[in-house]
Amino acid sequence: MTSTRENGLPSKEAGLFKQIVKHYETKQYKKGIKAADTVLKKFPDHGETLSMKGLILNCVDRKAEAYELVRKGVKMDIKSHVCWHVYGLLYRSDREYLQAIKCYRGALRHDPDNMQILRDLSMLQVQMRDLEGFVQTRQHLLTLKPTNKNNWFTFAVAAHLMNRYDKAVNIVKAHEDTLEGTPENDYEHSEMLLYKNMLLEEDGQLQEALDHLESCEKDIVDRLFWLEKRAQLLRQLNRHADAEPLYRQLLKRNPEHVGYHAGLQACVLGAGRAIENWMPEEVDEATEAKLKVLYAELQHHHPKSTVCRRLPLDFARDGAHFRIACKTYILPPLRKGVPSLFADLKPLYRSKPKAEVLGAILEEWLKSLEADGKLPGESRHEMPTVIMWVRALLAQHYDQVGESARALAQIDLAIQHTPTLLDLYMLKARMYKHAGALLQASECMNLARQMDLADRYINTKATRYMLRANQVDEAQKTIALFTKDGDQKSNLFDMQCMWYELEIGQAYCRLARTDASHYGRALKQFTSVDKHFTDIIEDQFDFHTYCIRKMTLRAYVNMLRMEDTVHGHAYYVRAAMGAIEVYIALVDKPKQDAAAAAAADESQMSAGERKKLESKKRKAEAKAKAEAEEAKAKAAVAAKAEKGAKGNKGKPDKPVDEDPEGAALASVDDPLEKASVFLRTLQQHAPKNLRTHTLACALALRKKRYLLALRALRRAVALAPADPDVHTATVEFLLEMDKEAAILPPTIARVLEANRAAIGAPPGKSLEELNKAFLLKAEGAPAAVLAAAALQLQIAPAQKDAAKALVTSLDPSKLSLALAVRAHTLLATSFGDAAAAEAFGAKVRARYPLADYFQPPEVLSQGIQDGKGASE
Amino acid sequence: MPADAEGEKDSRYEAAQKLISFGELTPKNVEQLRKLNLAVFPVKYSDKFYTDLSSNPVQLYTHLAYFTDIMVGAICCRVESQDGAAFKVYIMTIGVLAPYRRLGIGKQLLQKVLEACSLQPDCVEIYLHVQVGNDSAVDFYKGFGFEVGSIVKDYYTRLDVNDAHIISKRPPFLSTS
Ligand SMILES: CC(C)(COP(=O)(O)OP(=O)(O)OC[C@H]1O[C@@H](n2cnc3c(N)ncnc32)[C@H](O)[C@@H]1OP(=O)(O)O)[C@@H](O)C(=O)NCCC(=O)NCCS
Repeated sequence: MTSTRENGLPSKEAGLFKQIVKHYETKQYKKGIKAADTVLKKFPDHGETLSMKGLILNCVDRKAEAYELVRKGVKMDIKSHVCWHVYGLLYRSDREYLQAIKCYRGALRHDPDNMQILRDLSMLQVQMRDLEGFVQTRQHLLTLKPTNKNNWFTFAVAAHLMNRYDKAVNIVKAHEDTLEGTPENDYEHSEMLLYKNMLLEEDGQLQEALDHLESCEKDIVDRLFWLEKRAQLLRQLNRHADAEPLYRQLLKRNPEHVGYHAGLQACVLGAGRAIENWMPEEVDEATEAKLKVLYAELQHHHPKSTVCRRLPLDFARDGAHFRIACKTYILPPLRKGVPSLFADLKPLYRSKPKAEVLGAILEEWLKSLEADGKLPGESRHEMPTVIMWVRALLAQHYDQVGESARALAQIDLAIQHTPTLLDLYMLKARMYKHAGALLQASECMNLARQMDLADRYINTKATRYMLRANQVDEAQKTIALFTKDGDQKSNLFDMQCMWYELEIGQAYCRLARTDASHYGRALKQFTSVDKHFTDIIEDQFDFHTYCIRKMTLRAYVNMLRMEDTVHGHAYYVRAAMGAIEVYIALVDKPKQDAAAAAAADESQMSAGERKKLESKKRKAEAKAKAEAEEAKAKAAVAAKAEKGAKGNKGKPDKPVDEDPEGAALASVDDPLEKASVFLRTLQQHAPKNLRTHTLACALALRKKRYLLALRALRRAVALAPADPDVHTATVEFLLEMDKEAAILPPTIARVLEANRAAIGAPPGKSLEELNKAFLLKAEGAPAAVLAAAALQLQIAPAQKDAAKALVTSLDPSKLSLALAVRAHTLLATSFGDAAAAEAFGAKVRARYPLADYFQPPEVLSQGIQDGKGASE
Repeated sequence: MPADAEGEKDSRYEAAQKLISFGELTPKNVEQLRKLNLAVFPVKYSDKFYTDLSSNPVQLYTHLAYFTDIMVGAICCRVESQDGAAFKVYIMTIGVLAPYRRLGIGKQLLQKVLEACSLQPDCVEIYLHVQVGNDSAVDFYKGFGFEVGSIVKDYYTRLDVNDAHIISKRPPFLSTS
């Protein structure tokens, strides 16, 4: 950063100023400050020196002073591009990119062709996806310095990001034309050609892309990619006969590559589409026959390939074909003892006939092994492990089809056979989990963990199972066994250990139902995940220059695209939804408590009891407050201690967490606004997720923003008109509207009226009719029946019994465990009928005998001990 | 037994050898040994037995056997000092999970300990107790040239049969008769 303009200092001070800049660039901050002070002694109002001193102070963590000086600098010399540039750098270092952009623009007003500032500006523009601005800035830079290769390609990428393919291709071409002789760097030249090829392909110019690819064969360093791309383009151009030998060649290199298989299949079938997963596809007889022949041949040519044996399981439709394919595929890993074999078979369970054949085969094998130690039709005695693994497979099969009792019985036999194999205990734990016995599952997984204390994977699993069972303390201790000593929490945060943050956050959410002090802890975790995603976005920054310099243009563009959609990742979605739910609960909870207290008042609670309840509540509140304060005090002490310990090392201190328990997060004044921030990201990045819109509706209703609620509902209805959650949201919305009808502004009322049909509730139809119609259409689907019953109670409380009958008449044997739980809670709370709930619970217990939820407390603790015994 | 069945048996035994390997006891895997012993022996060993063994294992005389990387057998011994430098090796446990027996695993475990003994000039004897009536175990040791000695009355408590044979071998440890 050198000043080209006369900066108004006499030559001695001008020399000193140059020194300041140099000290800054070489990170000699002390000297820099000293030099600046010397200048300022004589010229206390010299803008650029003030700015430079501020910039240096920023580097030694004296932020407040830095901003003060830099602002003063700009004020003193508003025409200096240096002052503006420094101001921008300051903002950039604080990730305030929009502010930084404004400052850079300010700088450019006074020095429009300053390449350093233009470059800095363009980096911020692409980071903020101001693509229009990015293109302009890069064009400007290219005009200023066309001899710089990077300027060409950054400009091309800029056009590419705007989907201006023709323009991008032309830029690359124009640069190519300036090249003469042999390229300096083979790799970079090759990447440039492949980038151009990417542009042609993305522009849909497949023939041109193919021609181009073929014309530059000898210049491409990445031979494999060249081959793959050529095969793909030929196939897409329907030149199957030409593509086929290429795919065969590729398969010879790597027979386990599913993409190559799909390509070859498409060529052999003469199909327009390459299909990697045949399970959900229609497969006619002719297709199946052709593929069958192809795979007989491929298995012959690639006898060691697993994929060649696995794919027929997906496309087989004929029972006999599937049966043989199963045997061919399963036997080798079964004999070898591959613990993950079932995971490979699991996708087949989306087809019921296939699941049945699998079960039948495994049962046959087990019977035969039990009888004489041989598999059906085989002459040799199998190794002792084979029967054990068959039992493990069969147990997993039973588990997968929902037969928990048989699954557990079978896995116990396997454990009896080989009690030293920890994989079996892991499987058993999962079976407990599926049976709803979360505590036993956790116990069993911990048993497996103890069998190999050096295994991080099993340690992780055990932690996860503890969290599912709400055993937060145990989980924290367990995960800490594999983190750096002492610094457990920040270590997991630094490692961006998001699965853990999500699981523990969700555990806190469950615990918060009975102890609201956990809401803060839950928010803390969800916020951490949010921060990681911010960091992931932030981390792009270094790549904007690096990738262009290294000419990894294809990877760069793909990375930018990934970043654009990264907030749609399941981890983010879970965290954001979790946070929104907590914020909603924070708003609803006091209301619910008040309602409960009022209800308690009405009922025949004695004065003494009421007093007790109130004092309990007061105590709980006081406790929560005291805890929050204590946590804050502790954090402050810790912060001091840390500063004391590290202060003299001269390194910038790691910022100390002022709110480790999230108490401050949970006591914000505007929880709904905080929730809306998460919601907006979801609406942008997870618009296909139904919950995004039902949550949006819930939030809007609480904010009394009825038109927003309506819009959210319309989106939900468009996605899934028959979904019980959508129906529930619709009815609850309309109930609220009825309640508010008297005070609703007429404009809003009119819009609502006009939109009723769009949310499936045409005017003139009563809510009761609406609900009845929904119930009728659902044809007894349990989730729908439950939703309708709950709504019926709200619409017409007088007809409580009819609504209740809907729930009690559900057949528990047809309910998933989650729905059974929901039905039970509905009876116990909304309908307030303990006897009906207990009767229903007894029926569910027969179907899910192990589920924690349906155990009386004594049985539950007993059950855990039994579980321990059974596992030994 | 018909000849081909005999041949099949041999080839199975042969094939099994490639799947057998050995390892050491550590504090990290001692829980597997506990599970193994629990399945193999009628007596339950104390926690102390396992902590002592794993925190300070006598690696020369403690070995684990694996079949396709699954722990299926173990031999655990302790060293008993005699006068001067002399010592005896006492076999506390040797066991192979039932489905994995008669594949040569027990033999190889014992062989490892005998080899270790044979390299120690101060080792004067290796011995153990076998429950009276456990003929297969007695046969097993006889095959290694062990001698069946006196009976100790009520060596065990709480079992059906509480008496035990003392079975022992003196140098040369690697001879079979
Ligand atoms: C004793 C024990 C460790 C042997 O393990 P193993 O792996 O089956 O032994 P091997 O396969 O190496 O057998 C070696 C030889 O011992 C003899 N033997 C082993 N088990 C035998 C039996 N049940 N009947 C007759 N001989 C037997 C045989 O000569 C065998 O050689 P072969 O198979 O070639 O005929 C195992 O049976 C066991 O764990 N038993 C229960 C625990 C126990 O009793 N331990 C000893 C007391 S501490």
